[in-house]
Amino acid sequence: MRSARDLIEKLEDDLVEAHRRLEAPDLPSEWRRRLMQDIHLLAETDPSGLGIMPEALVFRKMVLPFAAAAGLAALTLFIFERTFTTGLDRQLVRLALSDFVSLLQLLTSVI
Amino acid sequence: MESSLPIARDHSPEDDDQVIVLDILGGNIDAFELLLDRYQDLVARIARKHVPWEHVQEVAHEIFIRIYQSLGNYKGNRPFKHWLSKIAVRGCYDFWRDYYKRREAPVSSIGDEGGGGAENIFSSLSQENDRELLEARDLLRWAFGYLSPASRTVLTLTYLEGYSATEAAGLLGWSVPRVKIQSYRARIKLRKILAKTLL
Repeated sequence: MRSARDLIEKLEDDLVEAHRRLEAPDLPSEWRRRLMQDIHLLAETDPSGLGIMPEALVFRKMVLPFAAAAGLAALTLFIFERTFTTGLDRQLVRLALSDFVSLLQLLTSVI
Repeated sequence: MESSLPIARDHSPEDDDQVIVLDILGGNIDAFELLLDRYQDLVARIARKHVPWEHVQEVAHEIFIRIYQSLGNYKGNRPFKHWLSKIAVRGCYDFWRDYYKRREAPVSSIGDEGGGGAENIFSSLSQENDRELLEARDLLRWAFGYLSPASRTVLTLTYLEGYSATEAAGLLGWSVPRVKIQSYRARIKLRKILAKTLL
C-alpha cells in the first residue's frame, strides 16, 4: 500500500502534467476587432496613452538630470579652481566656471 | 469574421518590433495589428496557463490594452517578447487580485471545470491516463482556489511552468528572495490542501 507522501507526490506529478497539457484557445477575429476598436478609442480620447511624455514627465526625466549634471560640474570646477590652480590656469577655470553659472541661470529661467 | 479595420500595410514581416512600436507611438495605431499578429498567440498561451478557459479572452484583451498604454515605456534594450511577457504575467496576477476581491464563493466553484469535489476526483485517479489528467486539472483548479493571488501566480510560474526563481522574479517584478519565500510557502500550503483531501 502506498504511503500518503507517495500519493501526494504522484498527485503533484499529475497536476504538473495536466498543467503542461493545457491548450490555449484561438482568439477569434471578433475579439481582435473589439480590441482594435478599444485601442482606437483610447488613442482618440487619451493621446497621452500612446506613451507620449507629458510635460511634467519630460521635465522630470530630462531637464532635472541635465541641471543636476551641470550643477555638479560647476561645483567640481569651483573646488578645483580654489584648490589646485594658480595664475593663468585659475583665470581659465574661472572663465569656464562663469560659463557654467550662465548655463545654470539660463536653465533656471527656462524652468 | 474578417476585421473591418484597416490594417497597417507599410511594414514588412521582417520589421523589428521596435520599429513598429515607434510607428505606433508616432500615431499609426493600425500598426498595433502587427503586434497582434506576432504575439496574440503567446499572450493567449500565457493567459491560459494562469486563468480559467472562460476568462482567457477577457484577460488577453486587458493585457493588450496595457501593452498599448505602456508602449512609451519600452526601451528597446531587451527583446519585446520578454517585455510583453512581463506585462502578460502581471495582467494575470491582477486578474486574480481583482477576482478575489469580488468573489464571495471559493474560486473552485466557478465555471464548468471547477465543479466536482476532491473526493470524486481522487476516486478515479488511477484510471485511464487522459481521464486522470482531466481530473487532475479540475483538482488543480480546485486546490489553487485556496491560495492567494500572489501564491497561485508564483506557484504557477515556478512549480507548474518550471521557471527559476530569478526568471519568475523578472516576470513579476519581485525580488528573488520574495519569489523563493512566497513559492516555498505556497507549495507547503498546496501540499496541506492535497493531504487533507487524501487523508
